[in-house]
Amino acid sequence: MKYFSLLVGCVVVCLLNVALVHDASAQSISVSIRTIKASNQGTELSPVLNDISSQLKRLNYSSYTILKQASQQGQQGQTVSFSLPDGDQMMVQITGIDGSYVNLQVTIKGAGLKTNFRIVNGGTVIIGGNQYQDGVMVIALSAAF
Amino acid sequence: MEHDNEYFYELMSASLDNELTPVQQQELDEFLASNPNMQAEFDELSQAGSLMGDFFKNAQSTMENVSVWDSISDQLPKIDTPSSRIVVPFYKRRATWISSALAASVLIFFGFYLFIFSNTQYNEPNNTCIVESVESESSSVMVFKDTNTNTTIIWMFSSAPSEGRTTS
Repeated sequence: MKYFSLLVGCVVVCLLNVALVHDASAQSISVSIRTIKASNQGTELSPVLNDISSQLKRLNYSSYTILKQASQQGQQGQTVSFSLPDGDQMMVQITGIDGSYVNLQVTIKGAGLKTNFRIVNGGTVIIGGNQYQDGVMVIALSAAF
Repeated sequence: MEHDNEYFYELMSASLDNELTPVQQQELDEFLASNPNMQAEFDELSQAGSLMGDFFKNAQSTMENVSVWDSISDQLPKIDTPSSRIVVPFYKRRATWISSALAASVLIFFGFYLFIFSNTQYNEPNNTCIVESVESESSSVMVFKDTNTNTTIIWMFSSAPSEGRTTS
């Protein structure tokens, strides 16, 4: 009886470990955006964009100015919403976690864009192209859990 | 009164047990003095009796502080042991139960682990973003992948300001 209890205890501990490690539905995911104006007027690079400067430079603009930063927390199945500087609305639905990736569905309402992608934990994707003032609006979207 | 040898054997036995009366002891002494053979036999019995008495005295003194089981177990090695070993039943072995419990736990843990991840898709470790679908109502969209900086860019072309959006 003593060893049967030991066996049951080990099994329960293992199941709890699995449940705690893989309960992705209860995991909080941080979605953050940096809205940037990219233009060829000047050579400015906002200091807060230093970590993604190499990625932004692939867009071949000379100036990158931060317009807005925002971050929201959500869980699997939830949708977080961001207001963009041009009055548009960006909705990010957290569709799941797949290993080290976060599955997201991003909708930019006014621009009529809808995209599904998987982004690695802590990774950044660049979304842009909308005209804004004398340049274009670029969104650097990151997700982490 | 004449007595046969059997009578004197009884006296000899009683003498060894110190149970004779003085009269009987004198009678036995006189008989032995006149019978050297019986005297010799009595001496042998006396010697054997004293040896046994010493043995039991020693045994009694050494066993005072020793339990009966210990005194018996001391003698066990001197006893011929049976050639066949005593086999403990499988379900009574402690080590078997513990190792079985641990093995079962490990198997169950890995079983659940494999079950949970059985449908996990393989992700390229160096791919920070995997675009699965893109739809756009008002502009052409292209997806760029820069392998040098590991950058994924979703870019909308010819996207004029639409309803709800301003350019200034």
